[in-house]
Amino acid sequence: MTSERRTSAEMLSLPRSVAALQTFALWLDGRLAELALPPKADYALRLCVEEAVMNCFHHATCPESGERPITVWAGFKDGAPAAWVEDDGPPFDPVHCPLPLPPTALASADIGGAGLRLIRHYAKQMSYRRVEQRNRLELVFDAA
Amino acid sequence: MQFQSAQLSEGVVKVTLVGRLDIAGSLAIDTEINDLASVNKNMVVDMTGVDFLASLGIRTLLTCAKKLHQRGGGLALLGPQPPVREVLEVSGVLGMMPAFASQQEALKSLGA
Repeated sequence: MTSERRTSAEMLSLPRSVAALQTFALWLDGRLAELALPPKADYALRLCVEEAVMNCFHHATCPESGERPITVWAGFKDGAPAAWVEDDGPPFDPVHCPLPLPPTALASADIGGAGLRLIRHYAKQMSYRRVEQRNRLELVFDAA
Repeated sequence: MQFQSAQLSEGVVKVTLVGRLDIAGSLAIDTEINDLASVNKNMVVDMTGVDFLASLGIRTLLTCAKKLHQRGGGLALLGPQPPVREVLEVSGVLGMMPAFASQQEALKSLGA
């Protein structure tokens, strides 16, 4: 009896569409299965990459550069679980921008900003670069 | 993501979720849970079987909570696991969607 193991590419490029979100979810499942991280690191990487990609879907379209795919990578950097997400939206530095205040009343509550709050909470390191009119957010996580 | 619902009494519905409330999970339940929020006053969401929560899932729950609130009701969460509770705490939404250990407490908080 032979066992079959699905493999996924380390990197994924996806257009902005609901169908692409499904593709991304499947890719992330496969990638995390391959990385076989401890539960806390698995949770943190999955959460932060989802949040970063969702932020790109909401904000990333730059009229000057046209609509280029969002690119995602997940793997190891210097032995630590890591990921980066790249988009062609307007320059946006999620490492240093102020966080919106948490919602206080249901009637006016907007979940916008929660993704960034979660990334800052769960990622061990965040770095941002603007490269060739694209934003690149790099995240590193605790290995344990 | 598995989705089940049970009508506890008139205007009070219990939704049980099992699995990951990630992008795929949120997209899978969004229509069904919102439809229930549109025809009920109060909702208890059993999160005991949810092992992952991201902000898209929170957005789905918050949209339901808003609908229920507009009709004088609300949404209460039941039994979120520690990792899921941590996401709710960091997101700052527990004040609007309180979490309880028992269904009795959840229903009491809703006045249902």
